Amino acid sequence: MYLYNEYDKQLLQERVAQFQDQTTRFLDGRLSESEFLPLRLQNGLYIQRLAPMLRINIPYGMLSTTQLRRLADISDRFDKGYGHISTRQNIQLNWPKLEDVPAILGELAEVEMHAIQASGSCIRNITSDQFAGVATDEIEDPRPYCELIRQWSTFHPEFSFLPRKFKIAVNGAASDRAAVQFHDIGIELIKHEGQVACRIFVGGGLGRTPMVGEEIHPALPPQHLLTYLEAILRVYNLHGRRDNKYKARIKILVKATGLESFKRQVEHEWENYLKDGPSTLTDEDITWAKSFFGAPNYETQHDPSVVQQIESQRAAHRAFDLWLQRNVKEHKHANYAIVNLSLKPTGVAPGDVTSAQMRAIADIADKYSFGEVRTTHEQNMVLADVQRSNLFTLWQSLKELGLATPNIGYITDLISCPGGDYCSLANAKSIPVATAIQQRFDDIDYLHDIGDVDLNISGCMNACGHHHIGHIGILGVDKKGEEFFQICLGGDSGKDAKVAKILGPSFKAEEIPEVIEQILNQYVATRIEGERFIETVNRTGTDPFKEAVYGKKAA
Amino acid sequence: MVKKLLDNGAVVYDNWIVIGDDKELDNYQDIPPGRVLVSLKHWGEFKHQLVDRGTDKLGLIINSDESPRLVASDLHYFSVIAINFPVFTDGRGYSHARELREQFNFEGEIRAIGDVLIDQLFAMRRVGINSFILRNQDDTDEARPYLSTFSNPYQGAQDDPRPLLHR
Ligand code: SF4
Repeated sequence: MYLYNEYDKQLLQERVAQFQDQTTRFLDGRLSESEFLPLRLQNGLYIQRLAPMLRINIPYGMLSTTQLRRLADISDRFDKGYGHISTRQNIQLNWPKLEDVPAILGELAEVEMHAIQASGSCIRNITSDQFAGVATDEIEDPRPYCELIRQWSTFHPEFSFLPRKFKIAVNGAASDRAAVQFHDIGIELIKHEGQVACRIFVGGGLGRTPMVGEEIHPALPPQHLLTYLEAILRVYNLHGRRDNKYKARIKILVKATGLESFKRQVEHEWENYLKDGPSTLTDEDITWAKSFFGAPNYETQHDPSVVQQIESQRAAHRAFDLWLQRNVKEHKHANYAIVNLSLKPTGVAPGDVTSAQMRAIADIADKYSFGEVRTTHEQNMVLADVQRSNLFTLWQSLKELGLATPNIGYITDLISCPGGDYCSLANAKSIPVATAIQQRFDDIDYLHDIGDVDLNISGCMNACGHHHIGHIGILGVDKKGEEFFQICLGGDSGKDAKVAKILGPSFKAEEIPEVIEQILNQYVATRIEGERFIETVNRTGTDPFKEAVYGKKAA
Repeated sequence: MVKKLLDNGAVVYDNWIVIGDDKELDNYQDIPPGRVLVSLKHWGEFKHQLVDRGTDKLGLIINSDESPRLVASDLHYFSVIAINFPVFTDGRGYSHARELREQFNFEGEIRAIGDVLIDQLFAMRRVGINSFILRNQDDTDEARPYLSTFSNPYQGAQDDPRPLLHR
């Protein structure tokens, strides 16, 4: 994990002092509401329907157990004893008091955490693959690059006030677990002529106008990464629309300009003014960044009896077997496994984690996973380095904590935004719909038969629940003051990135579980042996599903 | 006279006359004598008369929707370029300042005018702006600490082109 040096620490202290001063000036009336607004946003602080909401960054999802314990303490002291993992790997507190926020930031700074640029029209937290460094399909660990980008983008003076928020994700594996093509800039680390290179996508995004990012550079050598990003950001800063916030994202600029012409502008800036400049990364810089993400001290001695032992535990405990199949993923080191903690048991708002759970997870991670925990954009948590011989004991502890629901990747592992229960922009309450779906599909054999389904729910077209990239997406809409839900189908956040298509007229909340079941039945009826849900949708198209839901004449 | 903050923290009085787009000019005589900051539009109209004043008395205003590129070949006529921030959340001026310094090698005074607030001074200074007319003039005398909010920023900029990694 990245360790702060004296400079990083000083910077955070200065940030806390800065925000303390800004808050004091605001509370004294010396800073107006409209002047304070962008400042507090750039510090992760929203004013929501019920209270302020503070978004705390978890850079590329990496947390130490010290940090997790501090988050638990903060949520007890300043909030209601729980936090919410967001779809950008951050953690949100829903009930802090404005006047407490500087103190919270002070507490966070002590454990090298912050809310810098957690919202507002600036470069946001960099997200990545939650299995970085341990995935079997990894090409290059994305985290060192994330960290270099984090530092470059933190308080970047030129990009203090962009037209709109700006999200960057980095992935470095065969599977895309960071949805890079749905980011303002997505970076895919590849091997090009034997060397690591950055394939760069630009102009992807969700929200009101979902778009798949387009490739602006096929294979940029990593030493040019920051200068190239600077060129893209400058073109965006100068030419992105500022007259209409719904048209202000870079995706609209890229679309309006055309990729080729946009690319020419970027390359003009880059080639003439930025390339090979002082921000060019040296080999030493990259080696330095990599030094923080080396493998922990793995047990390399292979004990063949472990396999035996696990097999007999599986045979004796079906629940353990199910959990292994669903929540445990292969690790690049044969003695280890990746363990996913499901934050989606039925009846809990997806992604919510209590302070007691946070402390318990921290204890478990200290014991079994080198003192590190990760958050995922699917709103779960991960222990990345668990020795296989410990899996059974670990499972028992997780089960007690309610964190072993064997549903990773199933339809009940759904992603949902906070929706109308918390969010003032919502058209509809998304969490009750999430719960109703989880209740409807609680039969583990059925879930197992259905297999992988990404289901995403957003309470309005701002799409915080990423409904466009769910295999099944659910969107809250307002029909004459009544809550309705629109269903869309066929989205994909992976390498075959695709935006889902609207199925047809919307439904009432209580109809949704039934509709989802009709969709799943259609899949079961037409799937070819071994075909995943999304593959069937892609093969047959959405018409048969439309017919299943709306009857013959609709299709 | 207006108070002007310099990037070294000093406060001075400024006697430049601002002739923005909002000033209607029928002819050159409408521009008072002395040191004037003129908008791009007025510059285009009265360039030939204005140059007679000499660089010392001539400055240009660049609005956020105007690019310094439009006047790249004229920059040597000016001792001051004023970057106008119509609202402080319009961040184009930051890129304009860097363009002026890094692409057109403008070495004169670059000042921030318009919606200039103390919380933005640090970033403004870093992109190469070296004088500031604060919207709230009363803040000027207290503004000095806001020029140096952070001691060691990560990325290179005008104040130090080297990123922290290379310093
Ligand atoms: S999608 Fe809409 S309702 Fe949901 S959190 Fe975002 S803004 Fe709020």
